[in-house]
Amino acid sequence: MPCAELADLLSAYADGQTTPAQTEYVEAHLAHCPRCRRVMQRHVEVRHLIRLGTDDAWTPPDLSLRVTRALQGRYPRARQRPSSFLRAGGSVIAVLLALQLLGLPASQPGASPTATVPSAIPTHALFPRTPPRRTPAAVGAQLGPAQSPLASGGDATTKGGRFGRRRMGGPHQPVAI
Amino acid sequence: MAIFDGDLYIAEARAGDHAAFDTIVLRYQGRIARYILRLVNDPDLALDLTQDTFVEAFRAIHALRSDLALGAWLYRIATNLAIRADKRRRRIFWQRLGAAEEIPALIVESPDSTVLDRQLVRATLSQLPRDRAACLLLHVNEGFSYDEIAAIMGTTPEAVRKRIARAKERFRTLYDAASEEVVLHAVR
Repeated sequence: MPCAELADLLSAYADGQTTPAQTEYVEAHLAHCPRCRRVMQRHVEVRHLIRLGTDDAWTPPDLSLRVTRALQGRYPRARQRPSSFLRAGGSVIAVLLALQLLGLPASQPGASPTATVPSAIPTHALFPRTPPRRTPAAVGAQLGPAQSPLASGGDATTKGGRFGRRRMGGPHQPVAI
Repeated sequence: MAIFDGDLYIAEARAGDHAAFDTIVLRYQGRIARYILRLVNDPDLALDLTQDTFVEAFRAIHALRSDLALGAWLYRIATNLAIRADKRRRRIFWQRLGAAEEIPALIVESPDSTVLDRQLVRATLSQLPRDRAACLLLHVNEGFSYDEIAAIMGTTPEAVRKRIARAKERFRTLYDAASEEVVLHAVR
């Protein structure tokens, strides 16, 4: 191997970071190459210089206090975690909500023990059943052909969300739902 | 002498034990602060970055991989923060810490040869690319192997070997040039 290709290995050899096979190879090369011996010596000297130049035991006096103070801003987040009681309550509410969404009665016979828990509290008291969302077709059927927002143009002429549905290109007429 | 069990303290810190994290801080703060100082060559910035290192560690302690030792993980955070801060500083204060500008001031301030050598080494280190300087310092000062440095830097041992070799060559060239400058200045 030419000397130029050995440069990285010489540095690693000086640092004691070569494998046994690499060590053997480098040592065999160094035995007959004075130029590479000088290069290796320079690597050793650089290590020595850096160690000498950075050997001070500088420790800032108030570092621990600074770090602790900075971290105190983070600690409350851990302290503000909900207690196990609250987390259990949240789980019960989540189960109730899931049952409600599925349309299953909370006190269905043969349900799992967690599903029987809400039977003591009427679920409709906790989660009043919301009226089904009305589709434009349902509104039209309720209002009749004259008042229906679909009467002249259908969906393409309406714009806005559930709170601001109005017809485009005509006077604003709030829809009585 | 009590053995420091990093895994135990990590587990306790993850469970919300503040005292366990404080123990980690107390154990590593000096080493991390000195390492950052050597990388950024600015005590005030080193203090800020050390603080940031532990704050970042606290935030991310849940994401700590089990295959990376606690110390190596802290050094990874510190290295990333230091490299980022140095880039930002160089963008704001465009500067090149050339030996010709640095040496006269060093001589006036520090007639003691040991202090002068130390300042020369630091001025030279500050001129190396940060990733190379980090690899060099992690090995020479902090005692990490090439494999450990590769894990810290998120690269391969082969790349670390090349970076350290280049860093040493560049360091030696710059240091020799700066030393000659000192001699010439002393003769004048």
